[in-house]
Amino acid sequence: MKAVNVCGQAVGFLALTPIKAGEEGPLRTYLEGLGRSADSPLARSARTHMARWVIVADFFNDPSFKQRKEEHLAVPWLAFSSNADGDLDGYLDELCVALSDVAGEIWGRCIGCPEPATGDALKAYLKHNQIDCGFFYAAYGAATVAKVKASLAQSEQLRAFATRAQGMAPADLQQAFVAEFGAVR
Amino acid sequence: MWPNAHLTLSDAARTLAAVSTSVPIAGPITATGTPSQRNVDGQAIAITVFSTLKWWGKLFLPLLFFVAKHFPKLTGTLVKLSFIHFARWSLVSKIPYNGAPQPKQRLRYTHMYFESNFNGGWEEYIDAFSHILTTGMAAFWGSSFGFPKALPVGPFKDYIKENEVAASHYYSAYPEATITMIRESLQLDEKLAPLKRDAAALSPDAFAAAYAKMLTDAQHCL
Repeated sequence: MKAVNVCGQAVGFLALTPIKAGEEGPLRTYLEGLGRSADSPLARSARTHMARWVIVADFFNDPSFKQRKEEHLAVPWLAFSSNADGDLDGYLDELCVALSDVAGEIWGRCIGCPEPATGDALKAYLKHNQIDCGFFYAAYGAATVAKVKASLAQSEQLRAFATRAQGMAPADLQQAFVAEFGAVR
Repeated sequence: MWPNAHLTLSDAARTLAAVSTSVPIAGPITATGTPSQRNVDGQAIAITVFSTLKWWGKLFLPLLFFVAKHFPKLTGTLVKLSFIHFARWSLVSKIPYNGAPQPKQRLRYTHMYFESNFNGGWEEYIDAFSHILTTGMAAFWGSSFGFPKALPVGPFKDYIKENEVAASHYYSAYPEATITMIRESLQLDEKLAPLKRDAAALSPDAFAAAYAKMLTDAQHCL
Protein backbone atom coordinates (compact mmCIF):
# COMPACT_ATOMS: atom_id res chain seq x y z
CA MET A 1 0.00 0.00 0.00
CA LYS A 2 1.52 3.31 -1.05
CA ALA A 3 2.20 5.82 1.72
CA VAL A 4 0.64 8.61 -0.32
CA ASN A 5 -2.76 6.95 0.13
CA VAL A 6 -2.43 6.65 3.89
CA CYS A 7 -3.00 8.99 6.82
CA GLY A 8 -2.69 7.28 10.18
CA GLN A 9 -4.49 3.98 9.73
CA ALA A 10 -6.90 5.50 7.20
CA VAL A 11 -6.56 4.87 3.49
CA GLY A 12 -7.86 6.92 0.61
CA PHE A 13 -8.97 5.09 -2.51
CA LEU A 14 -9.98 6.58 -5.84
CA ALA A 15 -10.83 4.71 -9.03
CA LEU A 16 -11.82 6.29 -12.34
CA THR A 17 -13.58 3.89 -14.67
CA PRO A 18 -14.81 4.61 -18.22
CA ILE A 19 -18.57 4.44 -18.65
CA LYS A 20 -19.97 2.45 -21.57
CA ALA A 21 -21.68 4.34 -24.37
CA GLY A 22 -25.30 5.05 -23.56
CA GLU A 23 -24.96 4.03 -19.91
CA GLU A 24 -24.25 7.42 -18.33
CA GLY A 25 -27.91 8.31 -17.85
CA PRO A 26 -29.05 4.92 -16.54
CA LEU A 27 -26.05 4.78 -14.21
CA ARG A 28 -26.82 8.22 -12.85
CA THR A 29 -30.44 7.25 -12.30
CA TYR A 30 -29.41 4.06 -10.54
CA LEU A 31 -26.90 5.77 -8.23
CA GLU A 32 -29.29 8.55 -7.36
CA GLY A 33 -31.92 6.00 -6.48
CA LEU A 34 -29.78 4.14 -3.95
CA GLY A 35 -30.80 4.27 -0.31
CA ARG A 36 -29.15 6.85 1.87
CA SER A 37 -27.19 6.61 5.12
CA ALA A 38 -27.86 3.26 6.79
CA ASP A 39 -29.77 2.11 3.70
CA SER A 40 -26.85 2.79 1.40
CA PRO A 41 -25.13 -0.32 0.06
CA LEU A 42 -21.92 1.22 1.37
CA ALA A 43 -23.28 0.79 4.90
CA ARG A 44 -22.59 -2.93 4.46
CA SER A 45 -18.91 -2.13 4.31
CA ALA A 46 -17.94 -1.77 7.97
CA ARG A 47 -14.62 -0.14 7.13
CA THR A 48 -15.95 2.71 5.00
CA HIS A 49 -15.98 6.09 6.76
CA MET A 50 -17.18 8.17 3.84
CA ALA A 51 -17.46 7.41 0.14
CA ARG A 52 -18.99 8.72 -3.05
CA TRP A 53 -19.75 7.91 -6.65
CA VAL A 54 -19.41 10.84 -9.01
CA ILE A 55 -20.07 10.85 -12.75
CA VAL A 56 -17.61 13.07 -14.56
CA ALA A 57 -19.18 13.85 -17.92
CA ASP A 58 -16.31 16.00 -19.17
CA PHE A 59 -13.61 18.39 -18.14
CA PHE A 60 -14.68 21.96 -17.64
CA ASN A 61 -13.39 24.29 -20.32
CA ASP A 62 -13.87 28.02 -19.99
CA PRO A 63 -12.41 30.30 -22.67
CA SER A 64 -11.76 32.96 -20.05
CA PHE A 65 -9.33 30.58 -18.32
CA LYS A 66 -6.87 31.16 -21.18
CA GLN A 67 -6.20 27.46 -21.51
CA ARG A 68 -4.39 27.12 -24.83
CA LYS A 69 -6.49 24.19 -26.03
CA GLU A 70 -9.66 22.69 -24.71
CA GLU A 71 -9.56 19.15 -23.43
CA HIS A 72 -12.50 16.78 -23.39
CA LEU A 73 -12.99 13.29 -22.07
CA ALA A 74 -13.39 10.69 -24.79
CA VAL A 75 -15.89 8.88 -22.59
CA PRO A 76 -17.46 9.92 -19.27
CA TRP A 77 -15.88 8.58 -16.09
CA LEU A 78 -17.31 7.07 -12.99
CA ALA A 79 -15.25 8.19 -10.01
CA PHE A 80 -15.49 6.06 -6.90
CA SER A 81 -13.76 7.51 -3.90
CA SER A 82 -13.60 6.07 -0.42
CA ASN A 83 -12.04 7.00 2.89
CA ALA A 84 -11.62 3.76 4.76
CA ASP A 85 -9.83 1.75 7.38
CA GLY A 86 -6.59 0.31 5.99
CA ASP A 87 -5.10 -1.93 4.65
CA LEU A 88 -6.30 -1.28 1.13
CA ASP A 89 -6.24 -4.90 -0.09
CA GLY A 90 -8.24 -6.12 2.88
CA TYR A 91 -10.65 -3.25 2.50
CA LEU A 92 -11.24 -3.93 -1.19
CA ASP A 93 -11.70 -7.63 -0.48
CA GLU A 94 -14.52 -6.77 1.90
CA LEU A 95 -15.96 -4.03 -0.25
CA CYS A 96 -16.17 -6.18 -3.36
CA VAL A 97 -18.15 -8.79 -1.44
CA ALA A 98 -20.32 -6.24 0.37
CA LEU A 99 -21.33 -4.59 -2.91
CA SER A 100 -21.86 -7.82 -4.85
CA ASP A 101 -25.58 -7.20 -5.38
CA VAL A 102 -25.14 -3.67 -6.73
CA ALA A 103 -21.68 -3.72 -8.34
CA GLY A 104 -23.05 -5.11 -11.60
CA GLU A 105 -25.49 -2.21 -11.85
CA ILE A 106 -22.68 0.27 -11.11
CA TRP A 107 -19.32 -0.85 -12.46
CA GLY A 108 -21.06 -3.28 -14.78
CA ARG A 109 -21.96 -0.18 -16.80
CA CYS A 110 -18.26 0.60 -17.16
CA ILE A 111 -15.91 -0.67 -19.85
CA GLY A 112 -13.78 -3.61 -18.79
CA CYS A 113 -15.71 -4.52 -15.66
CA PRO A 114 -15.65 -8.28 -15.04
CA GLU A 115 -18.80 -10.37 -15.07
CA PRO A 116 -19.93 -11.11 -12.49
CA ALA A 117 -18.77 -7.88 -10.84
CA THR A 118 -17.65 -9.28 -7.53
CA GLY A 119 -14.75 -10.69 -5.56
CA ASP A 120 -11.17 -10.81 -6.75
CA ALA A 121 -12.03 -9.90 -10.33
CA LEU A 122 -13.80 -6.71 -9.28
CA LYS A 123 -10.99 -5.85 -6.88
CA ALA A 124 -8.43 -6.27 -9.66
CA TYR A 125 -10.53 -4.05 -11.92
CA LEU A 126 -10.79 -1.31 -9.31
CA LYS A 127 -7.08 -1.47 -8.56
CA HIS A 128 -6.25 -1.30 -12.26
CA ASN A 129 -8.19 1.96 -12.42
CA GLN A 130 -6.88 3.38 -9.15
CA ILE A 131 -5.52 6.91 -9.06
CA ASP A 132 -3.09 7.54 -6.24
CA CYS A 133 -3.59 10.38 -3.83
CA GLY A 134 -1.15 13.26 -4.05
CA PHE A 135 -1.99 14.42 -0.57
CA PHE A 136 -4.47 12.73 1.73
CA TYR A 137 -5.73 14.24 4.97
CA ALA A 138 -7.76 12.53 7.69
CA ALA A 139 -8.83 14.51 10.74
CA TYR A 140 -8.93 11.43 12.96
CA GLY A 141 -6.84 9.03 10.95
CA ALA A 142 -6.01 6.85 13.95
CA ALA A 143 -9.64 5.95 14.59
CA THR A 144 -11.44 3.17 12.74
CA VAL A 145 -15.12 3.36 11.82
CA ALA A 146 -15.90 1.02 14.71
CA LYS A 147 -13.90 3.17 17.12
CA VAL A 148 -15.64 6.36 16.00
CA LYS A 149 -19.09 4.82 16.31
CA ALA A 150 -18.33 3.28 19.70
CA SER A 151 -16.90 6.54 21.04
CA LEU A 152 -19.90 8.52 19.89
CA ALA A 153 -22.25 6.02 21.49
CA GLN A 154 -20.24 5.98 24.69
CA SER A 155 -20.38 9.78 24.93
CA GLU A 156 -24.15 9.63 24.72
CA GLN A 157 -24.18 6.90 27.32
CA LEU A 158 -21.99 8.87 29.72
CA ARG A 159 -24.07 12.02 29.31
CA ALA A 160 -27.21 10.09 30.19
CA PHE A 161 -25.48 8.35 33.08
CA ALA A 162 -24.08 11.58 34.53
CA THR A 163 -27.56 13.09 34.54
CA ARG A 164 -29.11 10.04 36.08
CA ALA A 165 -26.37 9.61 38.70
CA GLN A 166 -26.55 13.09 40.16
CA GLY A 167 -26.93 12.94 43.93
CA MET A 168 -26.18 9.23 44.24
CA ALA A 169 -24.30 8.03 47.32
CA PRO A 170 -20.72 6.90 46.51
CA ALA A 171 -21.44 3.19 46.85
CA ASP A 172 -24.55 3.41 44.66
CA LEU A 173 -22.70 5.56 42.16
CA GLN A 174 -19.87 3.07 41.91
CA GLN A 175 -22.21 0.14 41.52
CA ALA A 176 -24.21 1.92 38.84
CA PHE A 177 -21.07 2.98 36.98
CA VAL A 178 -19.57 -0.48 37.01
CA ALA A 179 -22.87 -1.95 35.85
CA GLU A 180 -22.97 0.58 33.00
CA PHE A 181 -19.34 0.74 31.89
CA GLY A 182 -17.47 -2.23 33.31
CA ALA A 183 -17.60 -5.59 35.01
CA VAL A 184 -18.24 -5.81 38.76
CA ARG A 185 -15.27 -7.21 40.64
CA MET B 1 7.30 31.58 -11.61
CA TRP B 2 5.49 29.67 -8.89
CA PRO B 3 3.55 32.20 -6.88
CA ASN B 4 3.14 31.48 -3.19
CA ALA B 5 5.16 28.32 -3.54
CA HIS B 6 6.55 28.73 -0.05
CA LEU B 7 3.38 27.13 1.42
CA THR B 8 3.09 28.75 4.76
CA LEU B 9 -0.30 27.36 5.62
CA SER B 10 0.32 28.03 9.26
CA ASP B 11 0.70 31.74 8.50
CA ALA B 12 -3.04 31.86 8.37
CA ALA B 13 -3.45 30.30 11.76
CA ARG B 14 -3.34 33.67 13.44
CA THR B 15 -6.55 34.57 11.71
CA LEU B 16 -8.19 31.32 12.65
CA ALA B 17 -9.66 32.40 15.94
CA ALA B 18 -11.35 35.41 14.45
CA VAL B 19 -12.80 33.59 11.50
CA SER B 20 -13.62 30.28 13.14
CA THR B 21 -16.18 31.91 15.35
CA SER B 22 -18.23 32.61 12.26
CA VAL B 23 -17.92 29.07 10.94
CA PRO B 24 -20.72 26.85 12.13
CA ILE B 25 -19.41 23.47 13.15
CA ALA B 26 -22.74 21.87 12.59
CA GLY B 27 -26.02 23.01 11.24
CA PRO B 28 -28.32 22.98 8.29
CA ILE B 29 -27.07 23.12 4.77
CA THR B 30 -26.99 26.74 3.83
CA ALA B 31 -25.49 26.49 0.40
CA THR B 32 -26.87 28.92 -2.08
CA GLY B 33 -24.70 27.61 -4.90
CA THR B 34 -24.92 24.41 -6.84
CA PRO B 35 -24.50 21.70 -4.22
CA SER B 36 -27.09 19.05 -4.61
CA GLN B 37 -28.69 17.15 -1.76
CA ARG B 38 -26.90 14.14 -3.28
CA ASN B 39 -23.74 15.69 -1.87
CA VAL B 40 -25.13 15.52 1.64
CA ASP B 41 -25.52 12.72 4.16
CA GLY B 42 -26.70 14.07 7.49
CA GLN B 43 -24.09 16.55 8.68
CA ALA B 44 -21.53 15.38 6.13
CA ILE B 45 -21.14 17.20 2.84
CA ALA B 46 -19.13 16.16 -0.20
CA ILE B 47 -17.35 18.48 -2.55
CA THR B 48 -15.62 17.20 -5.67
CA VAL B 49 -13.66 19.51 -7.94
CA PHE B 50 -11.70 18.83 -11.11
CA SER B 51 -9.33 21.48 -12.39
CA THR B 52 -6.93 21.55 -15.31
CA LEU B 53 -3.28 22.31 -14.57
CA LYS B 54 -0.85 24.60 -16.27
CA TRP B 55 2.36 22.91 -17.40
CA TRP B 56 4.25 23.71 -14.24
CA GLY B 57 1.58 22.34 -11.95
CA LYS B 58 2.51 18.73 -12.67
CA LEU B 59 6.05 19.54 -11.52
CA PHE B 60 5.24 21.78 -8.61
CA LEU B 61 2.31 19.94 -7.01
CA PRO B 62 4.14 16.65 -6.35
CA LEU B 63 6.75 18.68 -4.46
CA LEU B 64 4.02 20.47 -2.56
CA PHE B 65 2.31 17.19 -1.70
CA PHE B 66 5.61 15.74 -0.51
CA VAL B 67 6.29 18.72 1.73
CA ALA B 68 2.74 18.73 3.07
CA LYS B 69 2.96 15.01 3.85
CA HIS B 70 6.37 15.08 5.53
CA PHE B 71 6.16 18.38 7.37
CA PRO B 72 2.77 18.20 9.08
CA LYS B 73 3.30 21.49 10.89
CA LEU B 74 2.87 23.23 7.56
CA THR B 75 -0.62 21.83 7.28
CA GLY B 76 -1.49 22.45 10.91
CA THR B 77 -4.20 24.85 9.89
CA LEU B 78 -6.07 22.02 8.18
CA VAL B 79 -6.17 20.26 11.52
CA LYS B 80 -7.38 23.39 13.26
CA LEU B 81 -10.15 23.75 10.70
CA SER B 82 -12.40 21.52 12.72
CA PHE B 83 -14.90 20.83 9.99
CA ILE B 84 -12.93 18.67 7.54
CA HIS B 85 -13.22 14.91 8.04
CA PHE B 86 -11.18 13.80 5.03
CA ALA B 87 -9.66 15.63 2.07
CA ARG B 88 -7.46 14.67 -0.80
CA TRP B 89 -5.77 15.99 -3.88
CA SER B 90 -4.85 13.63 -6.73
CA LEU B 91 -3.21 14.30 -10.07
CA VAL B 92 -4.60 12.63 -13.18
CA SER B 93 -2.14 12.62 -16.04
CA LYS B 94 -2.94 9.23 -17.55
CA ILE B 95 -6.21 7.42 -18.04
CA PRO B 96 -6.10 3.72 -17.18
CA TYR B 97 -6.88 1.69 -20.28
CA ASN B 98 -9.36 -1.15 -20.06
CA GLY B 99 -9.36 -2.34 -23.66
CA ALA B 100 -11.93 -1.82 -26.42
CA PRO B 101 -14.36 -0.17 -26.73
CA GLN B 102 -12.60 2.39 -24.51
CA PRO B 103 -10.89 4.82 -26.86
CA LYS B 104 -7.22 5.32 -26.07
CA GLN B 105 -6.80 8.87 -24.93
CA ARG B 106 -3.60 10.67 -24.18
CA LEU B 107 -4.27 13.67 -21.99
CA ARG B 108 -2.81 16.95 -23.14
CA TYR B 109 -2.98 18.39 -19.64
CA THR B 110 -2.66 17.03 -16.14
CA HIS B 111 -5.86 17.40 -14.15
CA MET B 112 -6.32 17.69 -10.40
CA TYR B 113 -9.02 15.86 -8.51
CA PHE B 114 -9.92 17.43 -5.16
CA GLU B 115 -12.44 16.10 -2.71
CA SER B 116 -13.43 17.08 0.75
CA ASN B 117 -15.79 15.59 3.30
CA PHE B 118 -16.84 18.29 5.71
CA ASN B 119 -19.63 19.48 7.95
CA GLY B 120 -21.27 22.86 8.10
CA GLY B 121 -22.44 24.71 5.02
CA TRP B 122 -20.97 24.96 1.54
CA GLU B 123 -20.74 28.76 1.63
CA GLU B 124 -19.15 28.78 5.08
CA TYR B 125 -16.72 26.07 4.04
CA ILE B 126 -15.48 28.04 1.05
CA ASP B 127 -15.39 31.24 3.13
CA ALA B 128 -13.23 29.57 5.75
CA PHE B 129 -10.95 27.99 3.19
CA SER B 130 -10.45 31.34 1.51
CA HIS B 131 -9.86 33.39 4.61
CA ILE B 132 -7.86 30.92 6.67
CA LEU B 133 -5.97 28.99 4.03
CA THR B 134 -5.37 31.87 1.67
CA THR B 135 -1.74 31.05 1.05
CA GLY B 136 -2.27 27.33 1.01
CA MET B 137 -5.09 27.68 -1.48
CA ALA B 138 -2.82 29.59 -3.80
CA ALA B 139 -0.25 26.85 -3.44
CA PHE B 140 -2.70 24.02 -4.16
CA TRP B 141 -4.73 25.73 -6.91
CA GLY B 142 -2.37 28.40 -8.21
CA SER B 143 -1.31 26.18 -11.08
CA SER B 144 -4.90 25.47 -12.15
CA PHE B 145 -6.28 27.31 -15.15
CA GLY B 146 -8.76 29.95 -14.13
CA PHE B 147 -7.91 30.02 -10.42
CA PRO B 148 -8.81 33.59 -9.43
CA LYS B 149 -6.94 33.66 -6.07
CA ALA B 150 -8.65 32.73 -2.84
CA LEU B 151 -9.58 36.31 -2.01
CA PRO B 152 -11.85 38.03 -2.71
CA VAL B 153 -14.04 35.05 -2.06
CA GLY B 154 -16.79 35.80 -4.61
CA PRO B 155 -14.80 34.94 -7.75
CA PHE B 156 -13.31 31.96 -5.96
CA LYS B 157 -16.76 30.60 -5.15
CA ASP B 158 -17.75 31.05 -8.77
CA TYR B 159 -14.65 29.13 -9.80
CA ILE B 160 -15.42 26.24 -7.46
CA LYS B 161 -19.05 26.13 -8.59
CA GLU B 162 -17.95 25.99 -12.22
CA ASN B 163 -15.47 23.19 -11.61
CA GLU B 164 -17.47 21.21 -9.06
CA VAL B 165 -19.05 17.88 -9.98
CA ALA B 166 -22.02 16.78 -7.91
CA ALA B 167 -21.95 13.32 -6.39
CA SER B 168 -24.60 10.89 -7.57
CA HIS B 169 -24.37 9.04 -4.27
CA TYR B 170 -22.65 10.04 -1.05
CA TYR B 171 -22.33 8.03 2.14
CA SER B 172 -21.17 8.68 5.67
CA ALA B 173 -20.92 5.90 8.27
CA TYR B 174 -21.85 8.36 11.03
CA PRO B 175 -23.93 10.99 9.28
CA GLU B 176 -25.09 12.86 12.37
CA ALA B 177 -21.60 13.41 13.77
CA THR B 178 -19.53 16.54 13.24
CA ILE B 179 -15.73 16.55 13.49
CA THR B 180 -16.00 18.27 16.84
CA MET B 181 -18.32 15.59 18.17
CA ILE B 182 -15.98 12.87 16.96
CA ARG B 183 -12.84 14.45 18.35
CA GLU B 184 -14.50 15.08 21.69
CA SER B 185 -15.83 11.53 21.85
CA LEU B 186 -12.39 10.11 21.15
CA GLN B 187 -10.89 12.36 23.83
CA LEU B 188 -13.59 11.33 26.26
CA ASP B 189 -12.85 7.69 25.56
CA GLU B 190 -9.22 8.25 26.61
CA LYS B 191 -10.23 10.06 29.77
CA LEU B 192 -12.85 7.49 30.69
CA ALA B 193 -10.68 4.43 30.09
CA PRO B 194 -8.70 4.50 33.38
CA LEU B 195 -11.86 4.87 35.43
CA LYS B 196 -13.55 2.02 33.58
CA ARG B 197 -10.50 -0.13 34.24
CA ASP B 198 -10.15 0.74 37.94
CA ALA B 199 -13.71 1.42 39.05
CA ALA B 200 -14.45 -1.91 40.64
CA ALA B 201 -11.18 -1.94 42.58
CA LEU B 202 -11.62 1.43 44.27
CA SER B 203 -13.34 2.15 47.56
CA PRO B 204 -16.70 3.92 47.09
CA ASP B 205 -15.30 7.26 48.30
CA ALA B 206 -12.18 6.96 46.15
CA PHE B 207 -14.38 6.05 43.18
CA ALA B 208 -16.67 9.03 43.78
CA ALA B 209 -13.65 11.35 43.87
CA ALA B 210 -12.17 9.82 40.71
CA TYR B 211 -15.53 10.02 38.95
CA ALA B 212 -15.94 13.69 39.86
CA LYS B 213 -12.41 14.44 38.65
CA MET B 214 -13.05 12.61 35.38
CA LEU B 215 -16.23 14.61 34.78
CA THR B 216 -14.38 17.84 35.52
CA ASP B 217 -11.49 16.93 33.24
CA ALA B 218 -13.82 15.78 30.48
CA GLN B 219 -16.50 18.42 30.77
CA HIS B 220 -15.47 20.03 27.48
CA CYS B 221 -16.07 16.66 25.82
CA LEU B 222 -19.58 16.22 27.16
